[in-house]
Amino acid sequence: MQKMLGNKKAYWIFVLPALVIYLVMAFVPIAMSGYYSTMQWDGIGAKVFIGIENYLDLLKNDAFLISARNSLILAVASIVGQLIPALFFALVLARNVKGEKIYRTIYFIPVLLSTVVIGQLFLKIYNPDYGALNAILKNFGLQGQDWLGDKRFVLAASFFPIVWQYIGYHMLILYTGIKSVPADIYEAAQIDGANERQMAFHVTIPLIKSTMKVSLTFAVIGSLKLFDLIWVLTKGGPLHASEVPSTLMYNSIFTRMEYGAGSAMAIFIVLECFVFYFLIEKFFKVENMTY
Amino acid sequence: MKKKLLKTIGVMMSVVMVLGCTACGASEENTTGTQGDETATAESPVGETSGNEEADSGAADAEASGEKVTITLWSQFSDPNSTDGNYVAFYNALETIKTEMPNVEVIHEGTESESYKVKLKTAMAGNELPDVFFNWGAGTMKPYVDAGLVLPLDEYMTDDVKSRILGGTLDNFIFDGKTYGYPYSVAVASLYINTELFEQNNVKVPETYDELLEAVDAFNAAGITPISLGEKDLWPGLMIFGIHAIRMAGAEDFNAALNGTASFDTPEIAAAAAKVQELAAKGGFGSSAMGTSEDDAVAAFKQGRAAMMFMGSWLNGDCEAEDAAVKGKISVIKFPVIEGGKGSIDEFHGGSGETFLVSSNTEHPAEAAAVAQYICEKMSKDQYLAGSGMPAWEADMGDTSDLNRLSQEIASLTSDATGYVYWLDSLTGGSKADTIMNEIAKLIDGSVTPEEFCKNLQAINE
Repeated sequence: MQKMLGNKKAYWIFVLPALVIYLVMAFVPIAMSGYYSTMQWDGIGAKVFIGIENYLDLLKNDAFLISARNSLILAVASIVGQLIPALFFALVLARNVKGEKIYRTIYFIPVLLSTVVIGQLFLKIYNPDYGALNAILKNFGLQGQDWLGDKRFVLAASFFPIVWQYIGYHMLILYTGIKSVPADIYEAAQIDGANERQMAFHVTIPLIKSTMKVSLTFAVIGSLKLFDLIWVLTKGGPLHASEVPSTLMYNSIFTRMEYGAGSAMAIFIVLECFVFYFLIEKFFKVENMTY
Repeated sequence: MKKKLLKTIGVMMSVVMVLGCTACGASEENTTGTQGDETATAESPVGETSGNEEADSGAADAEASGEKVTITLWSQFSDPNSTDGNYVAFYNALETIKTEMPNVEVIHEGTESESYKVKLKTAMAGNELPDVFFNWGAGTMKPYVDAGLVLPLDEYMTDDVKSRILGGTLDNFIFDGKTYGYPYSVAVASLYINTELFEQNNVKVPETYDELLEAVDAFNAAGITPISLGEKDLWPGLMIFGIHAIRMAGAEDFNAALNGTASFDTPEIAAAAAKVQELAAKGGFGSSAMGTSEDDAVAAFKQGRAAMMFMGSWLNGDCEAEDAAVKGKISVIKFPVIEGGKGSIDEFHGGSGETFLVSSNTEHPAEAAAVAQYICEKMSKDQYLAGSGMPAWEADMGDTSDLNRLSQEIASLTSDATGYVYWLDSLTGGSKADTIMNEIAKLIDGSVTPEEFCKNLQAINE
């Protein structure tokens, strides 16, 4: 055993199959997109090399600027709207409340539902004619709105289900993290006279920082590359008001037949994700902890 | 005992795996495997079909060798049980081709419209096109023609065949003098009105544009959506703007602008844009058109919650469907003329633009062309009888007393047609179509002035 671990070649041989699959499935397509993004190409005919012009056009494209802004808004909304409630639920549930398992299951149900199901559900809720939301508002004598058709509301209306859906997901990650904190630490805290709130803020949260970082990364990266719910709810409309980079990319490639411009957006999404990943890594340093 | 059980399970699992693999392989050949009738296999032996004029031209070599030729066919007609007239006609043709052209075996793969477009583009990029495939004409088709992916069919279009095709229906399939597709329908947009709602609210059926605006005000006052519009899907707005531009600029000038030979930046088109904006600002499309999908818009009209709808003739089937609350209460009229406009009331929005193309890579060009021709000619008659569009081929229609009432009304409306402008998105295609759709959405939303709108449209011509 010792001999084998000392053999550096053995590492390579064992890692190789996974590495090859990973490179072929992840890096080759990204490199191809990078290549296409320097071309003017309709996806069928001849490609013309135009350098970085596709990228310069992105900066002049209003719809793209809106979509980039929206993706950042969504990232912030996800951090605030998902992680804080998720942390709260996880802290409460992990304290052995009555019906812990049932609550855990209920909060996780939205994660299990297919995005299209959730999209259809909210399409019905927001429907200006027969939707539940307008019906409730009218009961209180308020004016109903065209939630997904009005530029003023569409962003909030379409981001709400996205943020809501994954609260349970982050709750489960954080809950698992909290559960792995050994009980004797809490006993020690109790002996020192700490109440529940102090234990949460001074014991639990500092100890699950690495789990929180995982949640944070998933929430931010997931927001930046989001596609499905927006596509089901609004297709980026009206007038690009709810556009995110992925929906615009899809539209460029398959509706406008501008493969080059679409590939440039794809590269932007990849870079945006990388940048945020490294920012999180840099500003959220956690030492590995063993109990 | 336990060992034996494990062994049996192991064997069973491997059998399942092997079966699973083969099943996947087979389903690629025939993805719609649940429908047994999708694969149109001929039953009668080759040689008995000498009387079949459609098959004659193409099938000669296959008949000589006595072998059956397999033709792959892709379409957007994904649902064999649909009541949409075009679907009914297509599946009829797929069924009759088995006996009419026994020398070919047609393997059909249907994909829902939006996915179909993506699938086709992917297949083109990978050079994996089927022999025959459904497509739209004009601007949508042009990139495929330019890339040499589709086969010109002039060779197979004999004078006899041409004489049966109605005039003007081939226009959207001709590029550089070569014809790439056969027509199968002429779809026309007209103004559908709910006569019951007009009577109940004492509103006059509009004959002039001013009367249309009065009707809009009257219905708004009564809390009824005047014109049902599904602008969330963007393309319905094209039709509204299209007919306004036809009425203001005239079909000829508007066509010239769309082809890039004339400018969009003219006083007439600006006036048309201003009219559309005025109509929208007046609440002509209700208060939530921007967030309404086409399906919802059709449902609202079908249920009698909207008084009018400007839509293509495919709406006929929906209006006369058994489950429609408005069955028997709908009438179609020509969109009113706009005062001061250059267009006449006999100029229409619509035309012939859907077809089946033949891949230039097909191994059996003659048979593929014959299949395309057979399906188009058969569909032309059947989709008319099913109440969809007007026919594109001459045919003996037989007894038409059962024909959809609205189709008959549209046939008489268009009998004196002097000009057509085809659907703007199919006509321009790709990024141009997308730009026009988004500009019109801005216009309806009120976030662009008519003058800016014209300049933005003209930008795609430059």
